[in-house]
This record gives sequence, structure tokens and C-alpha cells, in this order.
Amino acid sequence: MNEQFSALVDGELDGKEGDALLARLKADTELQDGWDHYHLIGDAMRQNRQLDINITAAVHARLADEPTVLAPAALPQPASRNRRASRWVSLALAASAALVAVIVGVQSDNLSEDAQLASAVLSTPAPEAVQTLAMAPAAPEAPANNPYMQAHQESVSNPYLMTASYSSEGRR
Amino acid sequence: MHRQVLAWTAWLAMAPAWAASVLPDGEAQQLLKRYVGAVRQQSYAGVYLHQVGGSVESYRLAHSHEGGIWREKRESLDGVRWELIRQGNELTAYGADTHALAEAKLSTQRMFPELLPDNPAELTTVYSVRQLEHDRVAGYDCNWTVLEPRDNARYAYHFCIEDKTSLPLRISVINGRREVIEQFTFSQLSIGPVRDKNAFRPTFDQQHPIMPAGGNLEDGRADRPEIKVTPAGFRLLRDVRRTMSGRSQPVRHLVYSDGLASFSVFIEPGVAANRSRLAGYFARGALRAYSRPVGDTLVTVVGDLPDATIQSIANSVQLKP
Repeated sequence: MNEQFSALVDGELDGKEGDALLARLKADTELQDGWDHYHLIGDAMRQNRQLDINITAAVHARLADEPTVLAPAALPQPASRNRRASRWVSLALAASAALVAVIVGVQSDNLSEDAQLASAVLSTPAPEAVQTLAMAPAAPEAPANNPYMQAHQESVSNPYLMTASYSSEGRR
Repeated sequence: MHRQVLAWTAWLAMAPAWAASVLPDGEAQQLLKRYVGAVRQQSYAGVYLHQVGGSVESYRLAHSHEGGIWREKRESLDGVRWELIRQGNELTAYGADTHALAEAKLSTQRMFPELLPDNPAELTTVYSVRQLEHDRVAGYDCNWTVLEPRDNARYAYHFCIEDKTSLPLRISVINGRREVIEQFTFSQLSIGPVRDKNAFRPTFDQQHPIMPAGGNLEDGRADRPEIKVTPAGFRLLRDVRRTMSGRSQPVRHLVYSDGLASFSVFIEPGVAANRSRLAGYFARGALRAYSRPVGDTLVTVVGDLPDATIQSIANSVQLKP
């Protein structure tokens, strides 16, 4: 089963397989426990603080019309540019989701039956919910060939300027 | 109830870390100087990761300091292949083509673990220094030293410093919400003499020396734009007129740095026709930029600084006729 979870998180399942797995997850509480467990283990193994704030394009796209994995740190990040990064990011999303699942789980003794069902996968039709949880609107991503950014990077990409010259030439 | 107790316990466990007191300036300066010295004078070889935005790139680095001579080779392990070799103060890029050489040159903006300026003492005027908890990076024990901005105008820099050699093993750039926005970290490292004879040899024939970029600052230029709100500690490093891709007229380009963070101001006349299209915020990796039209001139500020700082710098630029 873990292989299927892993494939889902990595966006490797095609539409039908993914849908089927998500539908089963919604219905089957035992499977939900397994899903939680899978992420808890992953979460424990990865503790990088940067990697838990991103969201993979594959999972993000699915949020629009599917049961939503609640991600508190979801930032409206554009599609990752390469496979390697997207793999990390998708794992990170999974880790965030697991964390929420744990928090929701811990608090569920005070909540209604419906909320308990939502321990990892919420069936609210809510890309909006993810939006409201994002910390701040991100500035639009500039293209790689943005002339200002390139010029700035070129101008500071000189170790002599930024280290040695800083203490002599820059002193005015 | 249980949860409250748990929360208090967690807070108490964390408290000593946050409560660690700010070092006196003299002590902080000694500490920073020791890190700068270690980066140059130790010998080490390993692989490090650079994370920014959602991407991760890895590099191999060998650094040797023996008999007063220091040598260094840095190579990209992901994407385009390039190498950077340093012997003393000479820095040369190697690669298969000009694209690779350009990538190599661009990478010299952050030569991990050498991020602090040669003379780091003045950093303490704008950053306060604290020592936090122990950690372990790439198999070595290290201790976190934090440079926190004394104002809210820039990011914090966290250094995990190896216990025995004072070599920085991990450097994280942290924003006001305590999010890591950029990070360098050794993933594999061995500190000690580099025995491999090939560790410092280039594998490409194509090379390009990287020259010092001095002499780009003319004193007392009357037409230099005035920036009313420059955060403390930033100094002008360059003031040039340059051509830029897609622009017919030369663009005035000023570069400022506080020793760790830097920003550029671009002054671009004659953009009245399409200025609304050009104005606004944009971002890439850890860089933030903000463009603002002033009459028919476009003012753009780019830097590794928080949005609010970039914007207030841009808003305070006063052009001179």
C-alpha cells in the first residue's frame, strides 16, 4: 500500500488510479490510518525546515477539484522546474499534510464526528481554504532572463567586489 | 489540560535557546573573524547543497591551505557542468562552452562557505550576534551562531560553526516569519588535508579568468540619485552606466552592500510609454524586486532583502536633473 501512497504523492499515478485511491481513502478509515502512518514515518525521517513550505504542482493541481489535502504552509508556488525538485517538494507537502493530520487528530476529541473523518483528507471543495491559509500573497515569479535580476546578480557575482573590496573601496 | 502542560514544557525547553543573550560587540567581532579565518586556512573537501525557492543544487568543493598557498576547486554536480578554480587570489572559470562559463561566473556571488566579508567586524553595527544550541551537520558537531538584523530591514543569517575548526557547515537565511528562504549546507565533508592530486585540476580546456571589478565608483558625482531611506550599514560599491538587454538607452546602475546583503538601484529614463506595464513587484529565488515610475523614468530596486525594505528604498529614490 505504501508504494501506492508514495506514487500518489509523487504524482506518478495517472488520473484514474489517483482518483480511485483518493476515493478509497475517503471511505476507508483503516486506509486513512495507513496514510497517516506513511506520512508520520516520512515526517520523522525528514526534518528540513525549508522543505516543508512548498507544494508540488502535481498535488496542487489535484486540489482544485478533488478532496483537499490540507496544507497550512501552502504557498502559491509555480510548477517546479525539474523532476528532482518536484520530488522533494511533493514529499514536503506530504510531510505538511501529515503534521496537520496529527494536529487535527489530537484535537478531534472535542470535535464532531464529521471533523474526525477529516483526519488527513478533507472532502470540503476548498482550494479557497488552502489560499486563506497561505501566509501572504507572493510576488509574481520573474522569468529567468529578467534583465534587472541578471544585472544585479552579475554585479554582485564578483568575490573581489563583495568581500575584499567591501572593506576598502566601499568605505566612503 | 494535558495539551497545555505539554505546550508549557515545550516552551520551557525552547526558552534557553531564545533567551541566549546577545554577545558584546568585541566578542562578536572576534568570533566572526575566526570564522572568516577558518574558511581560508582550513583544508577540507566535500559536497554541499544550495537550496533557494523550491530548487536544490549540489556542488563539490575542495579547499586546501598548505605552506601559505591556498587552492580551491568548486564544480557544479547538477545541470550545466562548470568548474571554478582559485589559486591564491586568481579565480578562473572552466567549462565546455560560453554558457557554462557564464553559469560559473554567476555562481561566484555566493561562494559557500565564504559568505562573510574579509573584514566582518563592521557587521556588528547592523547585526546582533547570539550563540544558540548545538547541532550536527554532515557528521560534524557544530554550534549555531545567529546574525540578527538590529532593524527589520534585512534577513537573519544563521551559521552552524564546526566545534574544532570554526568552519561554517550550514548557513541559513531566515526571514521575519522564521522561514528559511535560502540555505547552504555541506551534505558530505571531510576536514583535513586534501590528498587527491586531481582535486584541484580542471577537466575542461575552455577557460575564462574572472577579474576584480574595481574602479567603478567615481567620487562626488553631482548627478548621483539620492536615496533618502538607505538602511543602516549599506555602502555604495558601484555606480555605472550600463547597457541592458531589451533597452535602447544606457541604464544607471548603483550597487549597495552591508557586507552580507546587497541591493541594486536601476535608473532608466524614457519609459513613459510602457511604464504601467513595467511597474510592480517581482521575485525570483531569494531576490525581490520593485519597479516604480517617477515621471518618465523607471526606478527599479533588486536585492536579497524583505519586500518592505525594497519598496521603501525604491520610494525614497530622488532623481537629480
